[in-house]
Amino acid sequence: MSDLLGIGSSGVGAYQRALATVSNNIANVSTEGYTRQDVSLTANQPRLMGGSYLGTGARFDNVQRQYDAFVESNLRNSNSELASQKPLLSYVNRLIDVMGDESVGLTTAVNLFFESARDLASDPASIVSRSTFLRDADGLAARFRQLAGQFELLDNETRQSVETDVEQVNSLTQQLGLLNKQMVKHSSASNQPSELLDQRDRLLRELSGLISVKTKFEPNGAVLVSVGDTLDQGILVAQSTVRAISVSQSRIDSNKLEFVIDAYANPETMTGISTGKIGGVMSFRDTVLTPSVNALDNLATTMVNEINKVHRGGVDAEGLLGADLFAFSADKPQQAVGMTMIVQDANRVAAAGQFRVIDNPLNSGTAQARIAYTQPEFAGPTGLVGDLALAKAPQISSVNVSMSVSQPFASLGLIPVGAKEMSLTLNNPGAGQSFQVLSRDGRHILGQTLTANEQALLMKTSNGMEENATYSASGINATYSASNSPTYLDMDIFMGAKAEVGVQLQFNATTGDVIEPKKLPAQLTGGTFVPFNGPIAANTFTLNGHALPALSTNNSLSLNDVVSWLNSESASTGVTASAVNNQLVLARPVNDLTRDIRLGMGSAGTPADLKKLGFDTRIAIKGGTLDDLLVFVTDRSGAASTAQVTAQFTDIQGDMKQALRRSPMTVTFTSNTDYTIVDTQTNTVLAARTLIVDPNAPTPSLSYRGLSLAFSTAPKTGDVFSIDGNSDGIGNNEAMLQLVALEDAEIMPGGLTLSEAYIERVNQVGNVARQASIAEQALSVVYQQAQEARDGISGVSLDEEASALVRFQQAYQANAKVMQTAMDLFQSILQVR
Amino acid sequence: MKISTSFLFDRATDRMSTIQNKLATTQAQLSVSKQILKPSDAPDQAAAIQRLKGEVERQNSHVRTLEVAMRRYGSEETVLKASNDLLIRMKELGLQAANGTMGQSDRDAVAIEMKALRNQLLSLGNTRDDSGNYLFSGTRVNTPAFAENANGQVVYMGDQTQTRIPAGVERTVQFTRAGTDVFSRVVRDGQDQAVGFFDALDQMIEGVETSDTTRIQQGLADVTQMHNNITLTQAQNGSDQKVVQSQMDILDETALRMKSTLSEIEDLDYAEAVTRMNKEMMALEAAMGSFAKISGLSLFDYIRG
Repeated sequence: MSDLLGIGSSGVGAYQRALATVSNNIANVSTEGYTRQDVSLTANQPRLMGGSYLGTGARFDNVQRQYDAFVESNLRNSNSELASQKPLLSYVNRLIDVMGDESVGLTTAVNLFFESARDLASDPASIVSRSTFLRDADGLAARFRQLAGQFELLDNETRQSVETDVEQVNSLTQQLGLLNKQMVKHSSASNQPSELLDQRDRLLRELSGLISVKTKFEPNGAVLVSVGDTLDQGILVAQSTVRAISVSQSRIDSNKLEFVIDAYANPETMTGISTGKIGGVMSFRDTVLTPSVNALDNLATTMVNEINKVHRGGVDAEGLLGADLFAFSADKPQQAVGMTMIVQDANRVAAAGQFRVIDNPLNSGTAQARIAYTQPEFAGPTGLVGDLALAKAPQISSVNVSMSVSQPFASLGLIPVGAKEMSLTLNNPGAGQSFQVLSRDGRHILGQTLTANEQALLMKTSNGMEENATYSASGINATYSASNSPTYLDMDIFMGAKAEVGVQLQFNATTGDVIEPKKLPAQLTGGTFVPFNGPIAANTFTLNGHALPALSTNNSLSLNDVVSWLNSESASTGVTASAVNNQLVLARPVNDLTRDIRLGMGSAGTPADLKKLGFDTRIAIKGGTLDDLLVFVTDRSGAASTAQVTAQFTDIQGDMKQALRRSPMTVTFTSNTDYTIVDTQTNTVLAARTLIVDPNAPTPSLSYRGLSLAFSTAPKTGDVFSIDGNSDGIGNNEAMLQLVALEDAEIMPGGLTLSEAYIERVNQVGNVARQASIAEQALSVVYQQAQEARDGISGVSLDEEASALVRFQQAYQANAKVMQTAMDLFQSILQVR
Repeated sequence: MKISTSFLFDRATDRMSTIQNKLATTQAQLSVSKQILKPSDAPDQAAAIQRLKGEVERQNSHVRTLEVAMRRYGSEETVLKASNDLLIRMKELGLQAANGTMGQSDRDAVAIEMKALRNQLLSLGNTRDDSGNYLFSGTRVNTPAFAENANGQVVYMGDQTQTRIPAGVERTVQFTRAGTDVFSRVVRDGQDQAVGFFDALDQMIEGVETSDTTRIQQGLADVTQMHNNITLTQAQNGSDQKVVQSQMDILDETALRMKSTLSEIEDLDYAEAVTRMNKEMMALEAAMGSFAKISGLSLFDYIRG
């Protein structure tokens, strides 16, 4: 009967363990990652008795994990994908809440700026409107900074999030490595402790939430983890070897983050992380945040440039030229975060236009003029020809130009307005060669009065002339004087040989410091003198403005002849001549330390005559040029020739527009169609022209160096229009109107206006947000299904456990009953007497 | 399919919190009467809302500018009307003075009144607008438009710059009117140069004082010309006002249309929102009630030890 007891006792034992397993399931009902365990019982080895096998009871075989590798990996993958959408969605939503917010977003600030510009345009003189404009301009810059600051915040936050998550990944892989090590003890996964495997799966699931991983399980349950495209690359855990990921800022673009596996031993660069939480954050950074930051910077740069351009083109309340309104801080160039408003004084807001026209109240015509300035586009040269344009001191450059019989002139280009200390030398001039200097309007400034033929050749728009320029030689070669000069625009411009007052650098003998330079009287020294045949006609030369008389001899003239001829006029010229080393030297008296020496050509002289005295002919302009000057070399010899010209200048500063602003002028109609333009300050006639009749234009207009005057109706004889630089028209709103027009100007890429470009960006972020939200919803469903599937297999249901508990309890009780029965039977035997 | 206990609880909690979230959103929508509480609620609409709001603001700003213009035109109108009346009186006096039967002392009396009228016209020429700017000085708004020089001759101190102000998309209206356009020079037959407004008046007064009938006659012709010119300017002023008014009407209408579009996107449909809230409350109650019942079910309750 011991068998019966044995069977019962085996059952009791087995069910005790089964009950323990069920209890363990119940106890772990809320344990994260717990896999339900099941017991498997096996019948004991039967025993042969007589001819048949008798059962010997049951035994506890093993505890099984309710586990499905496929379902588990499915859960991991769907977890990775969902985890990537969640941060993307939440960050994108935050971004759009920032960009679309009325108090932080840009649109309101841009609107406000243009609104106050418009208000200022309707009352430019108002200091209140000006202050409001400045306040809103400052508000605009501040809004750019705030928005950029918010972007920076998101940048830092996401970077830190990635860094923390990478740390987390490294800690998880570390733990997995340790688990793998522990698993070495057993060769089969089924022998591994269930808890060890649960822990492995839990770590893998956590890992997959951060970064999507590929896994391969060894027979003993150890796992190989890789983040690469295949299992061969991007390995993080292999057996007990663990490779850490490190994250750093890209050296090329500090906005970019780079990931490297095992940076210190066997570095492997990761191409990028696209799924898992890290992937989601990275895709937010790369596809949403960085483009938004760039777009904001572009917007700020364009805005600052365009607004500054308009503002610089305006005139402020004090009649001064506008300066930049916005700037970027030096350490953050072209970045929205460094944008600042730099005008502090409301009077410095340049609302007015740079030019103004006033019609004389007593004009008999009713024509009203409107003025505008556009950068002129003249045909012909824009500077001196060839290397001459590069002759900025200390550089000296030369060119050779050729003239032919049919084309007896060569253009040297033009001396642009603002050229300083310009000097052009005609070296060894041929017999008929001479410089000619004209304004764009045919005012002949230096040279020889042009013949009709020469006029026809030179007065062409292709040479740089204004369209309806007329030739005038009045004032040609005028002698400069310090006050009320008869020269063109009172410029100190001279052609001939010229010597300035000398300057000698001086040093303090004891300290070596530079002291006030010593002045030396002007002295003009010619080249080696070659005797030539007289006579010299009267007014061939002028010396310091004095026309020299004739030297009437047909004999060869020696240097001494010339010296004594010159000295006979010393009283009028203020210069003494002498012969030194076979060179003609002209000098001011020793005590004259202010006046220069100018040996020029009179009406009868040519550069070739000057050369006979040993001097090349030079155009010397002291100070800066006040207008564009066209320079030619002409040859009247009737033969082909070549001329060599050398140039030097110290600088070219300023532009035509500013030159025009500085010099007020009047347009006077000498007939119903003819007009003259006169510079008011110097009384120089700048142009004498006839109105161009444009059959397509209903009303007449004229233009001068880019300034255009449009008349409301045809002007009449005697009508006078004054043009000036608008230094006191503070009620003028031209610049402000241009600024207002920027609001609708399509200056951003893609033909967008400034605010449209921003709204477009908001729109793009909005689209990403929408897509992310849809994706998140779909992936949530997938994830929930995967979770449901996993729980269906591995989850603990208390009801199921309750029924198992009852089942095993009853079996246990039944087995106990079997043992009791065995004992009863044994007792029965014992009681047999 | 087995439903694990923790899954049952987790899922029920999830669902209830989802409904609760929805309910909270609906409640917030109701309390501010807006459909869209923050841009992320409707990312696809965020751009449209910004665009519309900006557009509405811009229309308002244009209206504000036009109101400034209207006020200015109003001030101009007052001056023009007063000047017109003064010139009519001037003409009456001129006609009286031209009467050959009038004695010198009577003419002197007329001249005194004429001088007073001339001075009134001068002060009208120097009227300021409500921002303190001289109306007729062009852009030299801080300088009185007309001033007498040492010889007592009236000289125009302003300029002729015509400023325009923005009055809508692609549209500007003329803003300043130069003093010389209002008190404009007179062109006499057969003379090349015109005569200034006040010079002509002064000459006429001198004519009355000296009983110079030719001058008085010339003066009458001049005043007629001045009067015609002012009437013409009045007409221009009226038409400017009309243009601005119609532009304002257009702007108002545009703003209204945009506001209604904006409202469609942004504002809350109360009926829909209240219905939605009731539905969500029912769902939440049902979820809570059913969960309480279901979670109360446990096999353990039925197992009696």
